[in-house]
Amino acid sequence: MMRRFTAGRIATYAYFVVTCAVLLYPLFFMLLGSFVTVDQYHRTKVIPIPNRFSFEEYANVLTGGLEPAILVTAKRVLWYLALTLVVSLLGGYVFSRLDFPGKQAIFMFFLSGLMVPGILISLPTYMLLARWPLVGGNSITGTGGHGFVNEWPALFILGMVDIFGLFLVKQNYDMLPAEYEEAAIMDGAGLFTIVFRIYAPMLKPVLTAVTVITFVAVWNDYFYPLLLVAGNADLTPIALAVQRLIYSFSTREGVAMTPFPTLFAAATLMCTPPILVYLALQRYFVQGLVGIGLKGA
Amino acid sequence: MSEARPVAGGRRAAAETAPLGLERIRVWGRRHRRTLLAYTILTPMAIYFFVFVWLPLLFLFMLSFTEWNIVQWPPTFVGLSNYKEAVSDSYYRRVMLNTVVLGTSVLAINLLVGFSTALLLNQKLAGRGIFRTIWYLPVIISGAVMAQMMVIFLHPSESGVVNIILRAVFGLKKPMLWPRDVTWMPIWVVVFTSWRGVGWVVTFFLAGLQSIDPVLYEAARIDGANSRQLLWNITIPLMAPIIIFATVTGLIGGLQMWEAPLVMTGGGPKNATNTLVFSMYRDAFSNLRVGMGTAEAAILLLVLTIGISFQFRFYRRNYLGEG
Repeated sequence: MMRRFTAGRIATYAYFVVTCAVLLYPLFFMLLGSFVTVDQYHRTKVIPIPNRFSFEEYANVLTGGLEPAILVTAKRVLWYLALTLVVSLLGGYVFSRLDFPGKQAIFMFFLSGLMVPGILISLPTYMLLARWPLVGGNSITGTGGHGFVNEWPALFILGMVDIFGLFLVKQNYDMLPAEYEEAAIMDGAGLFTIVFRIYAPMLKPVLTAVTVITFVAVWNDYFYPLLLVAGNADLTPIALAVQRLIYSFSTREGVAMTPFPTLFAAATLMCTPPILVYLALQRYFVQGLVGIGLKGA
Repeated sequence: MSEARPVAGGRRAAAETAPLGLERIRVWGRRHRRTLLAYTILTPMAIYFFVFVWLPLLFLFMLSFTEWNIVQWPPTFVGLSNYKEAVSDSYYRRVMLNTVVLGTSVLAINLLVGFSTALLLNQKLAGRGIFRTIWYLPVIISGAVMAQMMVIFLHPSESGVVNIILRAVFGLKKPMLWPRDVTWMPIWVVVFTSWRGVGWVVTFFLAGLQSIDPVLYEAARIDGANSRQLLWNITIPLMAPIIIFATVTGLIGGLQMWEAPLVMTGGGPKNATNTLVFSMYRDAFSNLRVGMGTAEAAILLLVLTIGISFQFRFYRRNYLGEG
């Protein structure tokens, strides 16, 4: 299609070129800054220009303490992905396909819980985990020890039921015809066959969206780990580990001593997986976001 | 447990055609099996939800009437004194003012920039997908780590990135001492938080714009409407619910701002960037005043309740399809 290049179109392109440059600037700065030497960095004008692409700095930060953090985070990602997918597939099925007394009330109960801002209940949640009975040296009344604080369950126990994902999947169930299921029931299929064999493949787009959202959220999770496991170096997830690494270097005496390229490598390492996952699965992700439900708006 | 019948219609048909006696009991049993199935799946989730959402919410208000230093159990009851302090003390007034000013500044920027960008992205434009992706990238990377990177970017030496640029572009001689700058640090906090959040607003608005029927625009154009009239008489009225939703959600998020204060500025300089959520964290874990921290969270939660109830209605309508 031929299009006239009007002043408005040129202005629009100029707008996007400039804004995208501004938005990407910090990310490119980090990426390029991870390849230069400290000397080169100090001579930087506008953006570091590396003359080599060695991954030396990346190897340094990995062996310098980020490996265990990545391992812990990988475990959390797998755990929360599996849980979220199972919970939203089963829960979505129940709310979309089954009729039962109290359905509306239970739905409202879940929905209102979704509305409680997680960060505002962080202190009482800390207390709940710290005073959890019979763990971490606590007595039956929850006193005497430290409970789950600085223990590994603290990283796996919160956010196990993802109501947001459940509702997203429920909405997509609503759009699927019930014929497949009826045919399967005729053949004597049970609940798990129906949900995981018949519906799961049909729900691939929304499940992919839930996967991206969960991966990004767990990978970047910072506030609750800071509260709950900050005192246990073995349990530090990646976001906390990278932030601390950058912090410890940036507060060292003397700017000349600060290993800027190392910091940039750590930050780049931190940002790469979510960006890759997002780019790979972007199509589904946008579909899923739209599924949040603009139709009734 | 394994049998699950779908759709209400199928079940009703079975009940109507069933003869008296045995068959009816079987139909009755099948219906209850569905109920049982639903409850079996939902009960663990509901219990979990009660323990990890509603119980902490209850504890939040209980703790806010106490003072607790994290170490010694139990907390001591102090009545309303935390709340009184939060309202009367000049430090807490400053924090609340900051929370509102910083939160609404970010919101205003995000809405204005987000709406205009979504409008521009809604046209036929080569490279539209790439622009949209780039605008969304800052949303999906770690805010805490990027806030820590901002410290490097705003390093008060000649090697700070912002100082490097200012030197290169404006010929700045002496490096700016950003972290001690009471005027500039709040602005950087707003810039950073908008950088983080504006992409979400763009994506949300764009999804809304794309749900508007193009036939409306064509019809109006045939009637001789210009693009300004299209914007004011079609786009904005139809987008109104989405704009309101984004405003409410953005305000709820904005008033809970914590990444920049916690990691980037530590609330400083001179509490110029100290927000309620950061102050809550610091009161609890640095000043060992959990009661005071929970009182701050409770106050913010009470303020947010208006917005949250609006959000609740919006979600209920979308998920349950009712008005």
